[in-house]
Amino acid sequence: MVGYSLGSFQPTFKLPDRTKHLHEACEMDGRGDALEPAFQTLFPEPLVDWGARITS
Amino acid sequence: MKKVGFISLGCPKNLVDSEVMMGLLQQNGYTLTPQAEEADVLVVNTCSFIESARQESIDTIIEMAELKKSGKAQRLIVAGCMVERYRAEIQSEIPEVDALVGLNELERILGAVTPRGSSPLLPVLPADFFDSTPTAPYLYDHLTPRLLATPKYSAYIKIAEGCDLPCTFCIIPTFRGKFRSRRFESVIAEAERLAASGVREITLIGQTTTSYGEDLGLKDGLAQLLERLAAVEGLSWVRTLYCYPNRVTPRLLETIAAHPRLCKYIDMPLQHASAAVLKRMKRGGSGDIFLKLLERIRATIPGVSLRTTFIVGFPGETESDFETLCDFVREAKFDWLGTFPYSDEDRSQSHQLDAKVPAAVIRQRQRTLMALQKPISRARRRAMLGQRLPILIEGPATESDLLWQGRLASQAPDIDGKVLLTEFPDDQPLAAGSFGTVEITGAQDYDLVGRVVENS
Repeated sequence: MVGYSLGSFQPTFKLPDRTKHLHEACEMDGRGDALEPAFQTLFPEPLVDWGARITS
Repeated sequence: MKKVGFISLGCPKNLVDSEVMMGLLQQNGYTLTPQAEEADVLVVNTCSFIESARQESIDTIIEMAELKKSGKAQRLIVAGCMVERYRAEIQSEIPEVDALVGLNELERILGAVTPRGSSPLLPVLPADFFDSTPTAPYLYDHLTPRLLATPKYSAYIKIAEGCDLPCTFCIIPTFRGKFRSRRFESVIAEAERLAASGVREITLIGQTTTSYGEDLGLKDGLAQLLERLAAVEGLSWVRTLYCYPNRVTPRLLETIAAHPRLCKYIDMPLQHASAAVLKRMKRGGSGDIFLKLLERIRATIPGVSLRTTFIVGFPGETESDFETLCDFVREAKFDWLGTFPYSDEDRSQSHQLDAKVPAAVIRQRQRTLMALQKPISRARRRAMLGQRLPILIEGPATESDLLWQGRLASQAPDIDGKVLLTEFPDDQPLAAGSFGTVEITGAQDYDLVGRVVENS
């Protein structure tokens, strides 16, 4: 990644994170499920092959 | 000057109430802090529309009451829905609470933070306050100060307050009063002010946004409002949440279809698809009627993203009713779907209904419905693979600084999925809050993966 600017990212006032429960009662399963595929794009080769270490 | 710590629970409508109270405090010289431990005064803006929200509110009040004993805080103020519902109980059961601010008393937050005179508690309104008041008094306007708690590029605008619809499961009208719209020009003025301050995305909210303007004598008020908002300089995306199905008019759909700045997105809680259950909910309609409506929406707004929510386990919901709902979900193919397990609120009309569904059955039906939606969601996401779409770049991903995240027009803030961004053009520095073009390279059930191909 190249340069970036966080200038307009933060809210004027950031409420505590606990505020973010908003829709958990009804949200669809799977929030955050693209994290692993996204990392696989960034790091096609595993940094540490934990599976191999365990079995060897 | 005193430092005020604020905790806001519940939906975006409650968040806007918090923003108004925080704006009033800031305007009057108070400093706000997200660190409860640093605060001289703690405010908890509560939510109580279902059991789980109520429990969370109570837990938070008690936690803050403990902090008042052990920490710096000298005053604890409780605001929001819980106050309307349990005003007397909070006063008697939690003596650490120094003041209560109801939904129609937001401006009294100033007096609650720094009381005048000897009485630390605001007067208790009579229990029949709302029953005897045809129109509840408070609704903010464009002149009301608001301290936005959303990222600088995005803001909610509450266009109306209260609700006149008779849904038997819902107790919110008893808190928030009868439906009343904000003045048309007040909403426009607020949108213009927000846009001038750097907001690029506006999300319209209210108990039911599609009723907007009915009390002002406007026909198709929401469509008229959206048309004007689409012309506000500086705004890139305008979307609306909480549409009521029988008020989704052809003009509303045509308006959304016609203006590039209006997100091709409809959030329309249907609550159920069985005619028998919908009748007991006092909502009307049926799966067939809803399917025809969805067909009309998709025909008028090509590529529209549809979100809905359902209540499972409503009193009297039989296995057959639930099967009807499942069949409907299979056929409707929503982009986003949420389910609420029925919560038996003692002040709701449905509390009086017979044939309550056991809690275990409700949980099972919720799991079944979500499992049924999962492959539909996956297919909707996978159909986007390879597409190049406009994206709002939000900033570093919540889960990892190694990734950034953004949202498509088909993803509303907080409630829908997001796009994790893995790659950017070398010569175009990223800026949070800017728009770009993303190519979708990965698709899961909920979130997407993409690479930015252009960053404006």
